[in-house]
Amino acid sequence: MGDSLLEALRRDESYSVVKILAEKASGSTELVSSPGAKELYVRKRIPVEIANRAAWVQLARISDRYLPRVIETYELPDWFVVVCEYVEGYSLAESVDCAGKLDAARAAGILEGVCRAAGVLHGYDIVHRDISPSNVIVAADGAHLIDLGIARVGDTRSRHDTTKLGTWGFAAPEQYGFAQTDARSDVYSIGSLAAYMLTGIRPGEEGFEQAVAGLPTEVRACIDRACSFEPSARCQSAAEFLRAFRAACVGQADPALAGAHIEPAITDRVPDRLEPRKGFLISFAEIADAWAASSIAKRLATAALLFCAAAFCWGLFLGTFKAFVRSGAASGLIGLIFTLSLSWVILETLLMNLKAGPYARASSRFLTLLKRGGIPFAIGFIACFVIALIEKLILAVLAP
Amino acid sequence: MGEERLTDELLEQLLASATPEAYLAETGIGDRSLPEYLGQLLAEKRLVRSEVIRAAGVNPTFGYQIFQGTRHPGRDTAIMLAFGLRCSLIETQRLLRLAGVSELWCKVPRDAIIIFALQHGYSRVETDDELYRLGEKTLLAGED
Repeated sequence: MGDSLLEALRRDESYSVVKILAEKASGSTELVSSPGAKELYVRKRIPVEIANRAAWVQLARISDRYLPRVIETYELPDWFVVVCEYVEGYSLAESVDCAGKLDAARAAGILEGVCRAAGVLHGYDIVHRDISPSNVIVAADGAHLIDLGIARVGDTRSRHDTTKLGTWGFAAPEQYGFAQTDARSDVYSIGSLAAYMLTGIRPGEEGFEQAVAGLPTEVRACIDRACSFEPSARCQSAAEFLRAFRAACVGQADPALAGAHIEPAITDRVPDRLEPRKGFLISFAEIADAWAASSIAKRLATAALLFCAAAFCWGLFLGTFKAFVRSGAASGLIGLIFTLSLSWVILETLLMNLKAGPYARASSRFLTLLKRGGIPFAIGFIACFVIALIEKLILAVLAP
Repeated sequence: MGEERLTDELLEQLLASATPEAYLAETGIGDRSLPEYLGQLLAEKRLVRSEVIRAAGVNPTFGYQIFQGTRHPGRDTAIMLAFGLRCSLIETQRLLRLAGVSELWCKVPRDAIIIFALQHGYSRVETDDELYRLGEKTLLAGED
């Protein structure tokens, strides 16, 4: 136990603080640099009593471009510490407070990133609970959602959430103790966010009500629905809200929207509900994401590799089939198992190339490949060996 | 350390003051606490806590809490930390004073061995070896 503490302390002290971003009772957030890396990280210290380890461990497994990538977590006697990537850019609060309200096209673009990130979290049964303008960073590649300090993994046993409340004006009513929070609480926050972006005024401040009343009818209806007091009256998911919002913007023929390039395909890809991630298998969504994120060269290389692998496997399979017919069951079986093992290794190599799924943020992709590909291959190899041995024994017994 | 006035000067000033409050108000000496002093030593010597605790041989949780200020060390633990921090004799005496325990007194055989060890830059382990060799209670076993 002592050694792990010393190790955690050593890791803690290896970071040097560049700037303190926030310091509250619920913990501190600092911008730190690490001797080994050139990029900066954000280090959050959360008191152990209120830290939600489950949510952070879950977040560490998620690899989404618009959610903070968790670099490492460790625990000290009084702090739970999380180190995650630093997203550079202005927060939405800074942008809107400085430059004023956004037009519908820009708002839709930012909502797309936010809804997508929230959707991913909800797929893993995590509620963000603090989606507010200061927690949305507008970076070069879109809007990022940060600061899951009070995120909550779905726990149906407790009647009331016992940890910190969100941001005034953006937090859903149930976060103040009326009921259990779930994905729809985040939908409320996203609705308030949309209203904030389109009016430039925060909910609860003077002039907010009038400004919202001044919005186009359909857009206002969409926002009102998302911000209903009763969770069941709201849009039931972030993706649903995004669709409704887009429809509302298009419906009232906003001239600003006409020239904007918005890909409808992305709306469909915002997951309503992802299957809980099983440790070993990779979801197609992740592969699709990795494909979309790859460059042309990478895609060509992957396609070529895939073609060669397919040809190789097919040739091997045909050869095995012939061998099966010719020289008996055992040899055929060996060939088949060998083919399957080799195919698995090749597929894993492809995924490593694409940086999909478990390779997305493994610190050493090659080691992960060895683990995921090497072990099944070794098992297959041993199986072949065992079968060959059995075959020999049987032959020895039958024909002495 | 150049800004710190000599203890003798401060003593003169205290004896010359009309009331204790006047002296305290003027010199602005607060109670420098043990965690602060430890932090100062860490910064001066460019050490990290994990290494200091490891070198001292103190129980890690206890050591961490001492640095945080949530718990108070006993005399032997404080001496072990002094070794971990590679303190000089003066720094060790100051550390012991801030920990609220008695300083090293060369008339006590055990303290004398420890003073010798500090002056000659022994590690905590080497010091314990010497203590054991000369029949005194070692630092690690005798934690109070």
